[in-house]
Amino acid sequence: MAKLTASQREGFAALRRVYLAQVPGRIAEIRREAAALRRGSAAREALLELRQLAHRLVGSSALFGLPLLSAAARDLEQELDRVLAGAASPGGLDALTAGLEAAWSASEAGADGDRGA
Amino acid sequence: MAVPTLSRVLLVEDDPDIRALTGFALRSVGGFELEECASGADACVRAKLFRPEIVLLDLMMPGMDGWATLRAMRAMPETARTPVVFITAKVQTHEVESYRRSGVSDVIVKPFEPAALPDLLRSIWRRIHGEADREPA
Repeated sequence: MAKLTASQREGFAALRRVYLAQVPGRIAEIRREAAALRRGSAAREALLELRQLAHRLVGSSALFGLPLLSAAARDLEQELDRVLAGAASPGGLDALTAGLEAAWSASEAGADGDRGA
Repeated sequence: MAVPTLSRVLLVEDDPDIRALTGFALRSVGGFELEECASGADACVRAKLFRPEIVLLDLMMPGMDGWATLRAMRAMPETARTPVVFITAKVQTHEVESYRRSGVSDVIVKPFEPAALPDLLRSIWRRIHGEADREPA
């Protein structure tokens, strides 16, 4: 890989700063959607929407250097697959959405190493 | 035979964060002429005018997913033979060969290093054109 110029490095860093600023909102949105499911509106469409949010977080957080958050989001995505298949109930989503916040806090504390927040 | 220079890349990715990061890497680091699309349907429309030399296509998208987009592109004369590279987090090694048999030129697995994506894409491009892969300098 060719060495990046200062301008390119700053471009990547700027994109990452924008992304990191948006992460808490993304997690909050997922928690809101999951809470709505627990209140009894576990329609397939709502489950699919929540799964899509989780899937996006899996991919984007991994690319922006947040492996802990990506792994927590993947756990949620996989649980949603089980809920969609009728093999699990939405009640199990609580701990997994809380896990997103725990992973994010760990990233902020530097647990993702030098690629952390 | 010399490998043609890769210039025009069509990126199809529904996630705006990944699209921004990947797009920056391809445009700024790779120097490609890049067209970005947020959906397979949009990609099929814009590919007719843009005439990409290669398509980077997210596999898991809502609505028209990567496979549906690939089928639609193969049915269009403008993109019937354009190399398509899937981007996905969900692929097993043994599945890649099956993807290739289904008309996918290659598969890039997420997460990848964004800054290394242009080199990776050029390596795939050289392989498509029959040149033995070389280690980057």
